[in-house]
Amino acid sequence: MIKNFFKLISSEFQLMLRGSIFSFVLYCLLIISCAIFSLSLKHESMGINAPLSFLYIMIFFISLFKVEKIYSLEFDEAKLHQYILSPFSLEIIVFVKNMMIYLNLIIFFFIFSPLILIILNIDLIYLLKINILLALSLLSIVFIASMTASITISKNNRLSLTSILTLPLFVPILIFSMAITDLIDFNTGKMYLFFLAYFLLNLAFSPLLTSFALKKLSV
Amino acid sequence: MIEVNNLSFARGNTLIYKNINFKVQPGELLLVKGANGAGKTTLLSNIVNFIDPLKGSITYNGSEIDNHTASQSFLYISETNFAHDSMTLNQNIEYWLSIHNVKFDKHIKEKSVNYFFQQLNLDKKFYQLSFGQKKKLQLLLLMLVNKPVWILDDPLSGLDDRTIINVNTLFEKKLENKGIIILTSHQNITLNNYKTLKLE
Amino acid sequence: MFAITPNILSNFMNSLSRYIILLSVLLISVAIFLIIFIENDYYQGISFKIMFIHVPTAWLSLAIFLVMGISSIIGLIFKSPTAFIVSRSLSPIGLIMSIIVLVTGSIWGNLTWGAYWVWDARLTSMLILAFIYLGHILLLYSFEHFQKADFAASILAIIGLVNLPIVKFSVDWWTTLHQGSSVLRIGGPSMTNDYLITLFVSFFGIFMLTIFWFSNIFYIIVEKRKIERSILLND
Repeated sequence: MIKNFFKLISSEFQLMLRGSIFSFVLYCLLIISCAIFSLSLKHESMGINAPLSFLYIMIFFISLFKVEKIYSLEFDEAKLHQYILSPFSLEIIVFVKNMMIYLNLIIFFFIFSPLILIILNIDLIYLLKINILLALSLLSIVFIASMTASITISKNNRLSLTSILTLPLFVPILIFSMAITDLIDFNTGKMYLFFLAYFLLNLAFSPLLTSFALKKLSV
Repeated sequence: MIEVNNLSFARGNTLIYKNINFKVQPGELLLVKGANGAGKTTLLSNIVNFIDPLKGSITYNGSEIDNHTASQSFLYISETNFAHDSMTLNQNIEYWLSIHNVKFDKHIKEKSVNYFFQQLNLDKKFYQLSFGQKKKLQLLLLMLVNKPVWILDDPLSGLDDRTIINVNTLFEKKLENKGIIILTSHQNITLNNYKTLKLE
Repeated sequence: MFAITPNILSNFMNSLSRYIILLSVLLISVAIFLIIFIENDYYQGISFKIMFIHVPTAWLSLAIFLVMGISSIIGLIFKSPTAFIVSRSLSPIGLIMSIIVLVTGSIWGNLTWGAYWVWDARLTSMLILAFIYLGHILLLYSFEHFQKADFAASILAIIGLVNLPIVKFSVDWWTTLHQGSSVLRIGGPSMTNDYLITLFVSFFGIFMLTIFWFSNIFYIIVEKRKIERSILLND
C-alpha cells in the first residue's frame, strides 16, 4: 500500500509536469495584464498597495482557472468511478492532486516573480516577503478553489459558472492579503500565523467536502 | 452472491425503472439487456453504490453494499474511457494499477498486454490509439486487478472478433473460479449458460 | 431526533401557523406604536429609529445562516430530507433579511456618518453574507435534480459557516467605524430600558413573522415533493 502510494504520488507529479504548459500560458496572461496595468498608470505614483492588490486578484483568478481545468480533466466520470473503487480514499487522491496544483503554481510564481515585480514597479527588497505571503495564501486559495470546482464541474450543473457565485468564500483570504499590503513593512509574524491557521482549517475541511461533492454530484 | 430486491430508481422526477429483482450466485453471469435509455448503466452504478436507490435493497453476501465493500470486491469498467490522455500506455497502466493498489509485476503485465494487443509499442501516447485499442486498455484491468465481482458496462463495443473471443474466454475462466459477472451489452456473448435481465 | 420526517414537521408548523401570525401582527403593531412614541435620540435625532428594524434583521440574518449551516451538516451526515428542506426554505428569507439590513444600514449610515457605504469589516461581512445567500439560492436552482442541488448547496452553506466568523474576526484587525455592540456585551446593555424594550418587542415581532414565512415555504416544498413522488410511484 505504501509503495503504491509513493508510486501514485510520482505519477501525479508527472501528470502535473505535463499540465504545466497551461500554467505557463496563464502566467503569460498574468504578465501581459500586469504590463497593461502599469502602462496605463505610468503617470501616477502608485506606491506598493495598488500593484500588489492587482497582483493578488490576478493570482487568485489564475489559480481558480487552473484548479477548475485540472478538476474537469482529471475528475471526469470514468476516472471518478475508478477513484471511488480504489482502496485509497478519494480524500487522499484529492489532497495529492491539490498539492500538485499548488506546487505547479507556486514554482511558476517563484520563477516569474522578479519579472512581475519589475513590471509592477515594486521594489525588489520585497521579493522574499511577497513570495512567502503568496506561497502561504495560495495554499488556502487552491484548497477552497477545489471545493468550488468540485461543485462546478458536475455534469448535472446547468450553470457552469457557479464558481463565480462561490467567490465570497475566498473573501477572508483576500481581505487578509489586502490588510497585508497595508502592513507590508510589519515585523510581527501574526499574519503568517493567520495564513497557517487558515490553511490548517481548509486542510481539515476541503478534501472531505471536495471528495464528498465529487462523489455525490459528478457520478 | 448479489441479491437485488424491489429496486426502484428515479433521477429527479423521472422514474428510470421500478421493482427489479434478481439474484446472481458465484459462478454466474448476468447479462442486462434493454433499449437505449432503459437504465442499464444506471442499474450498474446502483449496484456499485455510486448512487442511492429510491427504494429497495442491494446486498452482497448478505450485507448491504457500502463504499467499503464496493472498493474491496467490485471491479467496475465504465463505457467511457478513464485513461489520462497525456500519459503513455505504460504510465497509464502503472497509474491505474497503483490506484487499485495492485502489486506491480512486469511478467504478468507483459503476458496480459500480449494477450490483448499482440504487438504494441507501450511508449505510445494514449491519444494516439484507436477507439478499439483504448477499449482494450480498459479491459486490461480485468486481467491485472483481482477482485471477485466484475461489473462491466458495455465491454464488447468497438472490439474486433478476435478480441471478443478473448474476452469471452476471460469470462469463462472467471466463472470457473466462482467469480460473479454482471454486464450490459448489445452483442450476444458466446458462453453456454447465462442469465439475462431485460429492462423495459 | 432525525426521525422527524418533513411531513410531521410541516403538519406541526401548519397547525401552529395561525397563532404565530396573530402573535407577530400583535407584536409588530405594539412595536410600531412604541417606535412612534419613543423620544428621539439626543445626538442622532429621528434617524436612530431605523435601529429598530436594522438590529433585529441583522440578528435574524445571522441566526438564519447559523441554522442553515447546522441543518446542512445534519442533512449531509444523517441524509435527512427534513434538514435539507429546512435549509432550502430558509435561504430566501435570509437573503431578504440581509438585504434589509444592508439597505437600512446604508440609509442610517448616510444620515449619521455622511456616507452610504464604507469598507468597514462589519459591513463587508454582511455583504458577503448576502452574497453567500445568493449563491446558495442560485446553486439550488442550477441543478436538474433536487437531491444533487441539496448536496451542493449544503456544502456551500458549510463553507460559508466556517468562513463567516473569520470575516467577522478580521474586522477587528481594521480600525472600525461601525459602533460596537450595545446590547449583547459584557457588563450589561448600554441602552436605556425603554429603548431596549422596544428593540426586543420589534425583534420578536419580526422573528415570529420569519417563522410564519418559513413554515409556509416549508409546507409548499413538502406538498410539492409529495405530489411529485406520488405521481412517480403510481406511473
